Amino acid sequence: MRLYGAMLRVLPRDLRERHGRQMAMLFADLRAEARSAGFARSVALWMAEVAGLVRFGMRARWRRFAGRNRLRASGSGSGPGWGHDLYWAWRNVRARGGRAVLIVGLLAIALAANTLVFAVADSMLFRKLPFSETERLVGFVGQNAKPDTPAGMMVAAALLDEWRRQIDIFEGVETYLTKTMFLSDGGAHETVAVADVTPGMMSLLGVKPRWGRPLEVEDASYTDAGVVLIAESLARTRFGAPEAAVGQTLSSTAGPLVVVGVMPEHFRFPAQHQRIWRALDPRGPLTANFGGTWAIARLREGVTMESAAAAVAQRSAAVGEAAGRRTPYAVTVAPHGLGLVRPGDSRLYWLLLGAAMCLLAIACANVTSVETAGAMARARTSAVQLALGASRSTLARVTLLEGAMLFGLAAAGAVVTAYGGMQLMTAKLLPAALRGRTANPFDLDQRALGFMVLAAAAAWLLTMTPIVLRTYRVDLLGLLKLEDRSSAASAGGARLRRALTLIEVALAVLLATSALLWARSYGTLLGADKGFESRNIASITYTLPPEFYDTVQEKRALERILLEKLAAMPGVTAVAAGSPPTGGLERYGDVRVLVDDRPAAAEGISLGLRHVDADYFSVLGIPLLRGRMFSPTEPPTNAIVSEAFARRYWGHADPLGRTFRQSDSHQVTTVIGVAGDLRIRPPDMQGVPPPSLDVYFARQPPPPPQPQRPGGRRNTGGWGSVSVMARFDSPERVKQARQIAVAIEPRFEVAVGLVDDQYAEQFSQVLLVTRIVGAFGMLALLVAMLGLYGVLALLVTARRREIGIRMALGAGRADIRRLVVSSSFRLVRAGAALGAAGAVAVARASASLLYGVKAADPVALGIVMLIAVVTALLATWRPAEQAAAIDPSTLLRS
Amino acid sequence: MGVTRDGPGLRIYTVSRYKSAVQPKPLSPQVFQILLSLTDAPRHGYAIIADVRERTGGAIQLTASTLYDALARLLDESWLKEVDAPADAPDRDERRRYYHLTAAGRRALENETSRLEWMLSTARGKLQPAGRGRRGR
Repeated sequence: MRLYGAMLRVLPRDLRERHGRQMAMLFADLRAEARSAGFARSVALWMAEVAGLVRFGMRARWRRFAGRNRLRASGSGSGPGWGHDLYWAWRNVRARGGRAVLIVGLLAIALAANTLVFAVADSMLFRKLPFSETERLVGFVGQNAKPDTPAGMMVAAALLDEWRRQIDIFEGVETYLTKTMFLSDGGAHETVAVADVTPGMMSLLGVKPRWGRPLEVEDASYTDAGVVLIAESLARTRFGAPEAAVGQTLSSTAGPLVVVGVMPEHFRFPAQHQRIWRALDPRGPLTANFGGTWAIARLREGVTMESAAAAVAQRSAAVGEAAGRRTPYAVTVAPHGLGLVRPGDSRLYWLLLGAAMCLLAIACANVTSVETAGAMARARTSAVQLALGASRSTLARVTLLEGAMLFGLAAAGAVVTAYGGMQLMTAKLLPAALRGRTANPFDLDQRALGFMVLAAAAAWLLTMTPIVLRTYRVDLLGLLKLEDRSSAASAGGARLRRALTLIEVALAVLLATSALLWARSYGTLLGADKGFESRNIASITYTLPPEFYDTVQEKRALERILLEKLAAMPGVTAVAAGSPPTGGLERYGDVRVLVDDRPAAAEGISLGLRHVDADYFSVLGIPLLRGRMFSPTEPPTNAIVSEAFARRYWGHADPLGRTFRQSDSHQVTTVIGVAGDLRIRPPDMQGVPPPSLDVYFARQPPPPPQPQRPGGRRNTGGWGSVSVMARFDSPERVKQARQIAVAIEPRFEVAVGLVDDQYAEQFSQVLLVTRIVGAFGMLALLVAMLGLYGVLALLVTARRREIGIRMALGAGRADIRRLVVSSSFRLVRAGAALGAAGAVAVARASASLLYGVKAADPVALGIVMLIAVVTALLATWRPAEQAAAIDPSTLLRS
Repeated sequence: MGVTRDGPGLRIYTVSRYKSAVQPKPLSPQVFQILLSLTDAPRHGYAIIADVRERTGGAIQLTASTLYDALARLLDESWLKEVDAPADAPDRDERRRYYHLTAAGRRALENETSRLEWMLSTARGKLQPAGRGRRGR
């Protein structure tokens, strides 16, 4: 019966008190009766009773709510109900006028900021990938790879077959390649990102096309046309409607593409931007020029990650042998790198969320402060209402409702703001490098909106609690007796407001200091010595489809024309063929080097292989430290190595004439020179970028042209590029260079950009945080200034009488100004000290994300203190003038 | 609402505004039966349920919540009032509260009965061949 007693709680309290005991007794009788009739009757009784109770409770409450409103409408009610309260709350909100607009605007911005940051963090961190049972999706990774290397290695077709045979570990192994393709539409070409996927990929991921059919095994075997699934957005722009796209053909530079299905809009794989998924045969022509395909496997149900990793590690040597590999094969599996968050990232997004929360807290503190002032001003009204018989709970309820209205309006505003902000964020603020890291879309989904509603509700409670408490404690007699309203305000309200302002100042200083630290960190990153003269160097890179530029001769011809035209352009000081140091590495990750034919070192390294001409060094300003430059007829077995490479393998011994080879190659390379180090990787904590290990080979003349393969499809899906570096006398020349490049080859995409910009792109995360925290910091300072101003204005109003007396007793205007300013500075000093301490603590915690700045950075702290003082002066100026303008004679006479 | 020539419903149903004031809605079968079981003597909850079940042959089964949902409303409308256990009640139980039909409750029950009769008569007139139905009466 205790259970029944608990269930009775669904009834309103008075009904429960009136009928509860009777109902319990009655139910006991009915239950005894049902029990004797059998188990089924008992169950039926309980079910009927639960349903009946819920209905009873809801109906009783509804009758009460509706009844109150009816009473009010007819004007005969004695106790006003919710409708009445709502009416008053709305009137009070409207009476706030401009202040309400300010409050709503401020809250809307703070809420929108929180929502946006949450949406991005959610997409990156919290939300599961939109595939089924992602925890069973794994990728291959080298056995000696660093712990945070994203899993997902390339596997050759023979290896893929072998892994697919390990059916006790894997439910399936599928592979993909990412490419770019030109869709031709009459004369224009549209670039579209494509993923070539083995037909089983979609079912491995647990997704299906919404229209049409999935890819089938035969689809991969067609050679004269590609069979594709396309994204809903592409289907809409090309064919009007997704269902109309099925069965249609897209024409592309890679031949016709037959659309068999359309993927739903939210589907992303393997990154954000792929719009076409083409059936791939791992042994077919689409994999030509690729070392293999990227593999994803799904673990068999019941197989744990640990046991799979151990089993794969144990079998990999045998698998490699069975697949006919000549070099050792040592891999294991790890959670797949799709959307896997790197350790630094999660701290980054928590930091951003924290910053957004700070902003919301400041906004709340400000609203509480402003509202407290409003409640003070209305205290007499409240007192009269109390005297006329309104209950305290009614007043509190109206106050809460007012808050709910303000926050509701703010939340509505925040949705609009966040929607606009999301467009801006995805288009401008969010660096492309970050966007590619998750397969989740960036959008304002229910989760983000739910988060916003929660944040708004929490902020509402937090903000309104002090005000409601004050309303409850209104001293009726004291208030009615009061002559001077301002004395009422000078009591607890002022103390609360001062405390709130202190918090605002502290949080604003915290945000501003953090923003400055990040900005300085970004500055350190950009200003670091890169080992070459990067100023005003631009790279011009064509991306060329193989249908048009298949042979080396064709590409070299284009390169030659481009070099000639650029060299002739005014303002160009030097040109050279080759890709920029910041990109275009030809080999990276887990390479082992055998020096002088000693066994390879145990650890793999990242190696930058570059094929360049001799003038590449002079154009980039890379110094040749020892040995000689390439001669025009340099054999491909000679190389110039970077200083770090030489020191790593030969220490202080002379590296010239020494030899080395990569463990998976038989070609022995001889060192003929040592070049200065390139430092293009992110710096370490001290702001010093580590040198990269580079090997330069001389570019070889193109091989003699080979006869065209008859009949075969030329399209291999492989992409060529032609890259040229140029040094300009000013960065404005880049636009001209682009025009020249486009004029030479107008059909295809050309990327023109300053090397410095490309270098900066690596630090887009730091830039993102700097921008976001910086914007929050500025907003926070502004809000804190408003808060400070409000408190000081109140202080001056409250102390008018005192000031008048002081002046009558001989205090000068300067003394009065000093009085106001000193009370302002007491507040700011305490707030700034608190904020600075917080900023240092936060910087300590996020030290691994900050480069080259100390947590207690004196420059950043100094600047922020200066800003705080200026802000305080701005906020203090008008109240101080007002105080000084008080005329004691008129004041004391009144 | 049109005018009916004869039938006991005339008094209420000719003026629709008056209708809504006197009897807002047709009574639910449950409420009708509850009122009915209180016509002869005050009863407590379990007795009402037992009486309704017996009279309707189990067609209307009330549970504690459905009964009190109705009782609470009927008490609000002053159609019922709570009374102490009458001395002459057959299964007198001091702990239980008894419910007594007020004059307003009785009037509401009579109105509902009239309404049902009127409904019944109009339905009979329509369903049975003309003349025979009248002769039957």
